[in-house]
Amino acid sequence: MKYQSILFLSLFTVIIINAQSDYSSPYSLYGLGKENINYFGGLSAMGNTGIGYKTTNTINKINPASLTSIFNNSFLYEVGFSSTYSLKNTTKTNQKNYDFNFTHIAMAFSIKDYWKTSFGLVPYTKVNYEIDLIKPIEGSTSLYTTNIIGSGGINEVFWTHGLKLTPNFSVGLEFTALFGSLDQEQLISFGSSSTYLKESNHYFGFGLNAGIQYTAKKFFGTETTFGGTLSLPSSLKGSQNFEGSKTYYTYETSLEAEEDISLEDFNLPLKAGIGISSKISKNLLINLDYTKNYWANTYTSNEIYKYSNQSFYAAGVEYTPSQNNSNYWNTVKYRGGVNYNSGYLTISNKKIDTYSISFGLGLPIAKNKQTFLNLNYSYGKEGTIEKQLIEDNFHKLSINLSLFGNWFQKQKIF
Amino acid sequence: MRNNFIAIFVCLLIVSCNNDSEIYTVGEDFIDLNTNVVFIDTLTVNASTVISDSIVTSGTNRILIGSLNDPELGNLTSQSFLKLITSNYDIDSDAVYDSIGLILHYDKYYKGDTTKIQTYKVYEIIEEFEPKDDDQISFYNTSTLNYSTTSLGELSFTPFPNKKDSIYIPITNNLGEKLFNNIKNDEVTTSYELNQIFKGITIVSNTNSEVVLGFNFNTSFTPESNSVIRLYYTIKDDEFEESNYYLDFSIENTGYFFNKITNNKSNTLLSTISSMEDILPSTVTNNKAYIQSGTGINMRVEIPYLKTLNALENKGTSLMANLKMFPVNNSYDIASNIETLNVYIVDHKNRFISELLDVNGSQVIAQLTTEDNEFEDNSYYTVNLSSFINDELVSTYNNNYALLFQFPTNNNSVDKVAIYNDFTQESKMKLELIYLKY
Repeated sequence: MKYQSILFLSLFTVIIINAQSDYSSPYSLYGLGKENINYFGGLSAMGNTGIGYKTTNTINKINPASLTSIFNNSFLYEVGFSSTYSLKNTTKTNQKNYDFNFTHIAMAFSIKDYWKTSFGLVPYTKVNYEIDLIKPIEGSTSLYTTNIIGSGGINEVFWTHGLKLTPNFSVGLEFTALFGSLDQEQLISFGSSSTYLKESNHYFGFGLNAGIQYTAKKFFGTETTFGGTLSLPSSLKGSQNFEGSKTYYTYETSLEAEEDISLEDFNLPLKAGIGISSKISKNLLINLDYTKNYWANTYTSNEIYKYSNQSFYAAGVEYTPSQNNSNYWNTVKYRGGVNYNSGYLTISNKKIDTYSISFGLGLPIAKNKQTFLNLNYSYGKEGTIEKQLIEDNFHKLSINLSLFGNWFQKQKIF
Repeated sequence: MRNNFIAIFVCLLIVSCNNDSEIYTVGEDFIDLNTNVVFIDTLTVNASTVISDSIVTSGTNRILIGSLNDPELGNLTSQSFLKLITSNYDIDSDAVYDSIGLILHYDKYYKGDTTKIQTYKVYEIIEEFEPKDDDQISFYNTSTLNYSTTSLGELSFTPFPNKKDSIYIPITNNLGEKLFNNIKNDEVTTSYELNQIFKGITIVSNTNSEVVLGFNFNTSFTPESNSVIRLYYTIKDDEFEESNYYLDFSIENTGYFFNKITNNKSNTLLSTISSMEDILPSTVTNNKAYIQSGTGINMRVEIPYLKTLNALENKGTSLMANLKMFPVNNSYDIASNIETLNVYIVDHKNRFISELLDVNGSQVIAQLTTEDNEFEDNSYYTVNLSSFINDELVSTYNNNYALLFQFPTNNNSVDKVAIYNDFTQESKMKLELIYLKY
């Protein structure tokens, strides 16, 4: 077993290099980039809900308290990918994009019957944009072009502990480390000269998330769980490296490079969420979530854009026809959901909000009926074409593999 | 369990290989950039007039003779010195001397008033045709050789540098017969022996000729357009019919030739310049700076506050730099070739550093552009200083390098141009800089 863990950790480092999330977006120009909105298991198909959700065989990263509900002595893995097809529109033009990304990797296991832990890696934000600007030279009528390419992102490693304090009441704590590099490259062309400038902004910081879950029998349906989550504000320290070069015809000279220019701290907001997950019947489960991120308090706005408080409203259902093994399709979990995200950016007095609708299947793929291949599809619309802004219509398909194993028992299932 | 690990491993391999995400390119209006490209034409440009100590005038192919009245830069005089030899020291013993004369072929260059009658006098040089200073191997515009005070011949003529081929100046038979007899009698059979009896000639114009004419010579011995001394003789054949022959004396190589070009600055604004290090600002010469070929008058241009760009709040780099300069309209002849100027980088004492080069190492020149305008004649020089400005800006030393402008024909013409630099006028010199702040 030990060498398997080592193998697992060595694979982990490969991922860090390539960790990316979500899909390309011009809105990732701002702040730390575009936040990752991929959820574990089948929760992406349930409107990204899950504050009150608990399950015995899947990691639910939304609420650390939910970790306590996984089977004792179990060992869970989760890995996810998503591919997005999007159509971006402005009043003048449109563009199609296709993007494929790794979205998360995590593992969880029991330490004690009342104490479960998990750790993993998720891309927290992603920056990916390319913008061409044609502007007049100040003091002249000549034009020059600037090609701006943003890339990079912030990754999050987390270590989560869930503690079951009473049979119905659990708390969770998640420690996170956020790190990554946001790069902006500019290619400024004028006449026969072109200048390449690259700023690499490195950020590093820690975060703390907490959650609670309380389960009431016979409150509504067969079982209802109330959940709450809280992410404390945190700040990321930043430093910048600069390099550049200038090309005139074919002759290139480098500009003076600089390292470790200190940047202003980037503040992450207080985030609070509440949710209900209710088993209406043996077959049907409903999730309702509300989350608010208090961005307005953390970030100084400027003329171009401002940060405002962000709200998520989300609802999701999960239907399992039967636990009867005789028909495979009766063991599949059928999911659906809706989500509204008010967004945290206000550009030209327009809030960049997102509507989405989602569907999905949880396909059991092992004899034990605890390992699932989750297929999640969502369709959504972000932003607006008003005020010279961009509307993004996206189709996203994500595949999350939730693997279940019994670590501390001798192999008898396989 | 093991199967699960294998499944993860395979998945991770897929991830590791996939890193190409699509990129968004729709145009944007809401971006806030810290970079900015600005046009700057307000940097001070100082112009001044300087002189070269001397210009090598041997090695060229143009005989320049004449004088110009010039109250601005001083009256100019050009006088040519020629050493002439022949390749043929064989004259038939039956030959009879006829005459001798100097043929000067127009090369169509002239400067001044061609309607004035010119009087050219030819004198014989009476010392060895070599630089007076033993260290020197070339002749300069300031060089001279001693010559006899009695002329060998003279001609008064109205010049037609474009219509006629040449002028013919008859030369005294004393010289002609001396050369003829010595060669005929085999007393002179080599150029060394010829040099013993004939060192060369100098051609001097009248002092108020008001035009400088260019004549062509070629170091190969037989071309049609060569300027030569021609010795005519006749030989009677068996039927006692006379046949005409001639023997040419020409310049063997361009080292045996130079133009002495002088100008008398003593009563002009330039009188204070005495050495190469002297810098005469345009502010004391009616806001003009001068260039004159032949006499070594050059224009010097400096951009004294260029380095202040480095002190701006933002970092920056120069993307392109052009210097624009306006010539004074009536300061040059229409016929003059002032289309281009050579540019050199010099230090604070006008010492030569290098030619002005672009980033690829090619020579950069200043080019005259004429915009035809119904109302005014708008001509200006532009020179691309991108590479120079960039080098100066990134240099860790305060080079204080300047630019020196002169005509490409600096050693074989007497052209002149004045360039404005009046700070109060639109026609002042402008450094047009495209500057990127980042």
